[in-house]
Amino acid sequence: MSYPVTHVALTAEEASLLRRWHASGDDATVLARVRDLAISSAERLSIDQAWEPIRRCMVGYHPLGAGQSVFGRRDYVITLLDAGEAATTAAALAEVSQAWLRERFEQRMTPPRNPGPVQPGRTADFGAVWACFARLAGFFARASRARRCVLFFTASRYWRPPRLETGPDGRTRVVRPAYRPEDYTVDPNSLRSLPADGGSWPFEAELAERDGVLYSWTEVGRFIRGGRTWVRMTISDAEYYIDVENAEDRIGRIECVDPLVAYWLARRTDKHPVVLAD
Amino acid sequence: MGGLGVHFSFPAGQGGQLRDGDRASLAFVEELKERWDTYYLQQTDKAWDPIHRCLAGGTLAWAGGDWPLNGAILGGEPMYLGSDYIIMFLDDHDVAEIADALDELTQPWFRDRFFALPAHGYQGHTDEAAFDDTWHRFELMRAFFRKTADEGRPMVFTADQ
Repeated sequence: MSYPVTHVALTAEEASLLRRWHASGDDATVLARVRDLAISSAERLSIDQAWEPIRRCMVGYHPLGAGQSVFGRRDYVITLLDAGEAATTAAALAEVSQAWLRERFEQRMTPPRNPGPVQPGRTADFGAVWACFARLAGFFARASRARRCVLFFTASRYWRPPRLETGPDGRTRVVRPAYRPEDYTVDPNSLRSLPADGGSWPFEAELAERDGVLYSWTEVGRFIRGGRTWVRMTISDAEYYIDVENAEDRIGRIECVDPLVAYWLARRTDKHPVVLAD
Repeated sequence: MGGLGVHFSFPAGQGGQLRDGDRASLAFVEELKERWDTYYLQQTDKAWDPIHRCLAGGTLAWAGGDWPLNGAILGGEPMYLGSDYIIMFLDDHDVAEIADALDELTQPWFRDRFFALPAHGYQGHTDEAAFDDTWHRFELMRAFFRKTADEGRPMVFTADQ
């Protein structure tokens, strides 16, 4: 599982402002500014599915996503390359040929198939990866020519669960991290043991019996879709959800609940007033 | 009304231009659209029409149904008076009130109202597939209201006609 990655070219002044905020412990301001840059800067590049293949192909040749950290928490990775480091990266990327990258891609990107019913997102084909790589190389080349620093921004896999605390009024409250889709996205590993072929027992037995494949999941509701009953379920120590179809008394399709809807479901479990922490 | 509906949230304290007439309102919304920050917007596509009808007594009337449910789509203050566009403004208190009301709705409640829409003059599809799509969009919109209420942000609903 990898998350979208954004690179932003910054002036030295913008970069030192981020460093100063970070040094003074003001990570919330760093994150707010970086989020804003990630959607509004004219000199930015976002890479989604192709990032992980690119990163893995470059391991052992030139590290990507490196640099000085300007963020003290574990839920996001925010690092800065100074202008010299950005130029070094630009030079390294400029040397990469399509044939070289293809060879590494074929060596390193043959994914194992999940035994469960829900497969990870389709692996990017090499053409798409090369196109993204070319954009990345072009981005670094422009940053290098303009002597810019380069910001690297992505969500990490670290999940911050909500916690209970006593508020200033003496009452209990829930402190919940601000919504981050990654915190409510199904971990594919949790689906590995689920059957792709309908299972071996009647649907309700799969849910309720100790040996049922869905026994470790907890039902939170039922609804109708396509004229069939679906059961919405979650698992302990996480705030993501799956929908499981009852297909003629067997497990049918299993779908991941949208992270935003999962946030809503998680919020419904809060028993006390909620404050958001960024 | 066949346009595509989008809710946008924005920081409290912004959006003053919404009160400066149609042109300024439209410019503010264009800015939100150009920015297209998917963290702070939710598309209801064409489902905003049946969603509003389900929440507001069955019709597309501005004054149909009861607050706060009727406020989710066509509630709040109209910020554009032309006939080619809809811009409705909800302040952060409105958003919180509507979010609380939406939280309580169940699929059977919504389903009853959806399949009763033809009796109120609705001419769109009301089969199972249309219901599934409308409910899916509704769930996303409801979650967006909750998130926006938690963040204390106001929002606008926009649709072209």
